[in-house]
Amino acid sequence: MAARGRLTALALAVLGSTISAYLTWVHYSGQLALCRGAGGCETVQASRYAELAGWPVALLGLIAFLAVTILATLRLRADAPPWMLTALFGITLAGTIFAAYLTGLEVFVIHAICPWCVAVDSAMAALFVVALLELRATPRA
Amino acid sequence: MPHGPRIIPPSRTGPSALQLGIAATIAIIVVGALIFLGNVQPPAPPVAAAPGITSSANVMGTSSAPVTIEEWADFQCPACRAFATGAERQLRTAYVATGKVRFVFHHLAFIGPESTWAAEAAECAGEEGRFFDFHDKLFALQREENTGAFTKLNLQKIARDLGLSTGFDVCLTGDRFAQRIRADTEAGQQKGVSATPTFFINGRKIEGSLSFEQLGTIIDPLIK
Repeated sequence: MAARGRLTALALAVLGSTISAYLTWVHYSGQLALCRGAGGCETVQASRYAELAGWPVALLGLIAFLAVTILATLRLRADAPPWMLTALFGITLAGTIFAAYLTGLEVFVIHAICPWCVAVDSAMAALFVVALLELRATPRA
Repeated sequence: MPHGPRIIPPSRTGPSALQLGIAATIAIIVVGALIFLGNVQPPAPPVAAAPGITSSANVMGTSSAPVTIEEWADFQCPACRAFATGAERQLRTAYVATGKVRFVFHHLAFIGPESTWAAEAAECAGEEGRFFDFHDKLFALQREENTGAFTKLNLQKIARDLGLSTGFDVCLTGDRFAQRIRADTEAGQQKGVSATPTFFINGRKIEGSLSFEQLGTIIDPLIK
């Protein structure tokens, strides 16, 4: 059961890293910087919220997912220390709050939904749930 | 008792409630700081016209330039803003001011009523020879689509900031250029423009915002 949770976390982290890497590439290459009426990824990527203090949001996502991927890989070992689960919980909690904020911006401010962004946000929320389930299954120190 | 391989027992206890509390606090502080930093970004700096540029309404540069770039854009389009506040500034200094490029701006006002009003206002400013000053100001002030940034009242305020005459207000409120904007948009659609920005560089169609480097690789071989 625990092993399945750890494998699920790794799969989600790899999926999130891949999509974030793609979105980071899109940001820097400007490949999809087009406006097509109804909006979508191009509108979201071209909005002023695509960067935070000069950092592309996609790159921040990539860094977070890579950190989670490293943790999830190390945690495949049965003797992984408990601090790794604490770190996984902290990163995925931060990621989930941030994902909720970005989704709110898409819906209420930018008025455009980016399917790729929804996919990475969902992957982060799912990782948080996996971390919570594992915490619940582990006795407190 | 047989001696088998030694197996490290898995850790039986997880993190303490205190550790989880600290992790949650750090997570919330980091996200709060990120959101705060994202909302205090300085607005785009005002655009200064590059020296040596002659402009007539929505055309910039000399008619004898070997390269003509025609842009179809909407003042509410974020990708158009990215081009206007980025590569276009360098284009003006490096190519337009030096007589290598003639730049023509066309309206494809398709995002909503504020797109049409903004386009009309730019044309009204053009009557006073300030089309590109108004163009730059519009892109600098661009906000979310149709949320009130480019109401006629706000456009008049921009005109006052630029020192335009009261003739601007008469022009805008009287919709003097409404027909012209519709015709421009229809002409663009007939040319196959379906997204903004779209460029025609000596007739070659290119969709999407371009970086200055990308522009250079297209323009330079045409200059010879």
